[in-house]
Amino acid sequence: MSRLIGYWGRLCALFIISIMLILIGFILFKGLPTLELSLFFGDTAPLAAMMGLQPVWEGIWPACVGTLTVVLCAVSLASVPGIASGIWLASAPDKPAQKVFGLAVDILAGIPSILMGLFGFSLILLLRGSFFPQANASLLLASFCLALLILPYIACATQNALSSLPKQLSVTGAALGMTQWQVTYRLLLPQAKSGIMSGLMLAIGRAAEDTAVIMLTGAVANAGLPGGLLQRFEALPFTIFYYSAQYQSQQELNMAFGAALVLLILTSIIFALLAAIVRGRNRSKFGPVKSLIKERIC
Amino acid sequence: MLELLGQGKVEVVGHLKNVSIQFADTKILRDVNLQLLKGQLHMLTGPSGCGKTTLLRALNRLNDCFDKHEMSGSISLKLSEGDVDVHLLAHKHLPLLRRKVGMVFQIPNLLPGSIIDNLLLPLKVVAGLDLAHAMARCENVLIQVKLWDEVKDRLNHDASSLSGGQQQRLCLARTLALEPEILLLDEPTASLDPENTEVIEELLESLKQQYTMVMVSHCPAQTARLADKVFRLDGQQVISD
Amino acid sequence: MQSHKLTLKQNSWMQALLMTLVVTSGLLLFAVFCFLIWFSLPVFFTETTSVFSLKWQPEQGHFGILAMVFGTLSLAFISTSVAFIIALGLNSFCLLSRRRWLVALLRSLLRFMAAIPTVVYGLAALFLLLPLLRNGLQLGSGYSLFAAVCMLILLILPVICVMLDNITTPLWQQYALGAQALGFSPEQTYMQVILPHCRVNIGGAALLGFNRAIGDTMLPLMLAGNATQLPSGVFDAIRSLTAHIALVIATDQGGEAYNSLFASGILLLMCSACICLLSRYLMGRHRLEQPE
Repeated sequence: MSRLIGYWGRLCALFIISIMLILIGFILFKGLPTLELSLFFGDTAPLAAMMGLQPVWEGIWPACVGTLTVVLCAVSLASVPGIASGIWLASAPDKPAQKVFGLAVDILAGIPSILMGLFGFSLILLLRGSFFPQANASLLLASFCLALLILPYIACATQNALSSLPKQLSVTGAALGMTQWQVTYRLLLPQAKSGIMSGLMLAIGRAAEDTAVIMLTGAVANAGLPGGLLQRFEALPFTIFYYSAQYQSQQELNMAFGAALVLLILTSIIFALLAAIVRGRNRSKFGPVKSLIKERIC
Repeated sequence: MLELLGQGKVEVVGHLKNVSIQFADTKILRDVNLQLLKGQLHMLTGPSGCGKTTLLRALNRLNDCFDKHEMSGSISLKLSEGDVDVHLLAHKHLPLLRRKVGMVFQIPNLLPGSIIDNLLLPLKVVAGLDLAHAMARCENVLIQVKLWDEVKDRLNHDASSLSGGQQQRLCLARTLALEPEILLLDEPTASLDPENTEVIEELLESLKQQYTMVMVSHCPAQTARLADKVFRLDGQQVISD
Repeated sequence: MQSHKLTLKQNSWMQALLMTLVVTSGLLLFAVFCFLIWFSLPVFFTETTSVFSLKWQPEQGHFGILAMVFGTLSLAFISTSVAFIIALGLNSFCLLSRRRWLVALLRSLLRFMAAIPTVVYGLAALFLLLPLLRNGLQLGSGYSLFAAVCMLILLILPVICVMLDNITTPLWQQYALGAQALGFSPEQTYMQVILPHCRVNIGGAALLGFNRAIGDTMLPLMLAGNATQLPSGVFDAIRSLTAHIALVIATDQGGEAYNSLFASGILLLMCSACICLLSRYLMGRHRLEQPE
C-alpha cells in the first residue's frame, strides 16, 4: 500500500515539469517574436524616447521605466527601516515588545496584497477629507504602499540572518569592550550580509511583480514616463493586465506578451542573483539549503 | 575428546569474495575475502576510519542509501530461504534482506514515539503481524534483553525518556523481534558507560548460539571477551587472525 | 579618553536612530491595521444587514458580499486541497527518488515557480486554458471557478512544497537510515515513520498555502469571471473578495459601495491574521528549529 506513494510521487513530478514547460514555452513562443525595438518604443525614435524628448505611444518603455522607478522608490523607503527592525528583533528575541512586533510583522507579511492597496485608497480618502484635498493616486502613494508591503520581508530576512550567527560573536565583541552599536555594525552586519542581501532581492522581486497594490494607488495604462512623484505612472504588471483584458488589436496583445516576457526575464534575473547569493552563503557555511520562497519567512 | 572435536563441523553461512567498495572516488575497501561461520561472533577490529562500518553495512546493503556508492565482488549469505547473492539483489528485495540481517547502531537509533511504538511499528509494517501476535513477541523479546521489568509499567512513555543503556537494549530488542538470522553490531557499547557495557556484553554472549554475529569493536578487551573469530582491517584489506 | 566619550556618544546616537526607525515602521504597520478597522466600523454600526447578504446590485441599493465570500472560500478550499495532495507527492518524490539529478531539477523548478509573477500565470492561462475550456470542452465563456483554481494550484504549490521540504528533510536525515536498516522500504519509511510524526507541522504548511490562496487578487480577477452569484458547479463564474475590492475601486462607484469594500477588507484581514496565528502555532516548534 505504501508503494502507491512512490507511483503518485513520480506522476506528480512528471505532471509539474510538463505543465511548467508548457507554460514557460508558451510565454516564450508568444513573446520572443515581439522582442524588437518597436515593442519598447512604438513609432518613436529610441534615443529621443529614452531622453524623454518625445512621448511613446504603443510601446512598453514607459512601463519599464515606471516599474524600475516604483521599485527603486519602494526599496529605498523600506530598506533602512526594514533592516533596522530586523536588527532590533534579533537583538532580544524573547522580550515581549519584540515578540509583539515580530507577530505583527509576520501577520502583515501574509495578508492579501490588495489590502495594502485598500490602505492606500483609504489614505487618499482621509487626506481628501482633511488637510490635502488634492490627494490622489500617485507614484509617491504607490511607492509608499509597496514599501509597507515589502518591509516585513526585509525585516524577517535580516532577523533570520542575524539570529543564525553564533552567539559567541557578539559575546566576543562585548568582551573586547565594543559598544552595542559597534558590535552590530562591525561584527554582526558584515557576517549577515548575504542574508540581508537575499532579503533585499526577495523584496525587489516582490515589488516588481505586484499588481494589486499599484493598481489601486497610481498605475494606469497610458501615462507616459513617470512625470513626478505626484503623477500617475505606468508599470509592467499593470500593462500586462490591462492589455490582456482589453486589447483592441493584435499589436496590443503582442505588447502584453512582450511585457510578460520582459517581466519574466526581470524576475528570473533577480531569482538567479538570489540563488547565487544563497549558494555562496552555503559554500562558506556548509549549512542546509535555505528556502527562497516569498511567503516563508519569520 | 576427539569425538567432541569432530562433532563441531561448523557451517559457512556467509562468503565475501573480492569485495571492493568506494564512495565517489575514495576507495574504502579493496579485495576483501572472508567467511562467516554459523553461530559464531566475528569481530572486526582495526584503526578508526578504515572501513569497518562500511564492510558491516555491505552485508545488509545499507551502503546503497548513500550517494555515489560502488561495490564490486560478491557477497553470498546462507539464509533459511536458501543461498542469497546479496550483491545481486534488486532494490525491492532489500527490505526482506534487512529483516533477516538485523543491525544495531553505535548510537541508539530510536524511532519517534513511545517505547511500545518502537517495537510495534516494525512488527506491524515489516513483519506484517497483527496486534496480538506483535504484543506477545514484544514481551518475549523485552524479557530476553532483560528490559521487561524496567519498562513494563511505562510502555507508553516516550522512548527518549530511557537511559542510554536502556535505549540500546531497546534497539537490540527491536532488531531481535524481527527474528533475524544474522546480527550486525556496529560498536553497540561505544556510547555506554562500563556498567551498561557489561549488561550488553552478557546479552550478546547469551545470544551467541542462536545467531551468527558480526561485530565492530574498538576495545581490545571486549574483543578478547566476546570474539570467536577476529578479522583485522588494515589499509583497506582484511587480515584474519 | 576623548575618543572613548565620542564612541559612547556615537553608540547612543545610533541606538536612538535605530529605535526611531523601528518605532516609525511599527507605527506605520499599526496604521495599516487601524485604517482598515476604522473604515470598516461604519459597516457594523449602520445598515448591518445590507452588506451581509447574497445580493449585489448596486443600482438597486443591494450591497451584499456573501456571494464573494463564498467565492473566495470555494476557490481557496479547492485549490489548497488539491495543491496539498500534489505537494505530498512531490515531497515524497524528492525524498525517495534515486534519480538525484531529477530531484535537484525539481527543487530548482519549484523555487523558480515562486518567482514567476502572478500576472504572467494569468496571461498564460487566459490564452491557453480558457480557449481549451471554451472551444475544446464547450463550457461557455471559459471564465470560471475551475480556471482560477487550476492556476491558483500552480501558484500555491511552491509555498506548500518548500515548507514540506523544510519539515520532512531533517526528519528523513534523522530516521531514514535506522528505519531502512530495520527492513522498512523507503516508501514505508515515508508513510509510516516520517509523515505521522510531523502531522501537525504539515497542517501548518497547508494553512500557509490556504492563506496565499485567499489573498491572491490577479488570478481570480482575470480568470474567474467576476459574476456576483453563488456557483452551482465548478464551471460557473464567481467573484472573489479580492477581485471585488479591485473592481469596485477601479469602476469608481461612489460612497455606498465603499462600505462593502471595507467590509471585504476587514473580513480578509481577520481571516488572514487568524490563519497566520494558527499556522505559527501548529508549526511552532518547527519554526524555532529551522531558522529560515
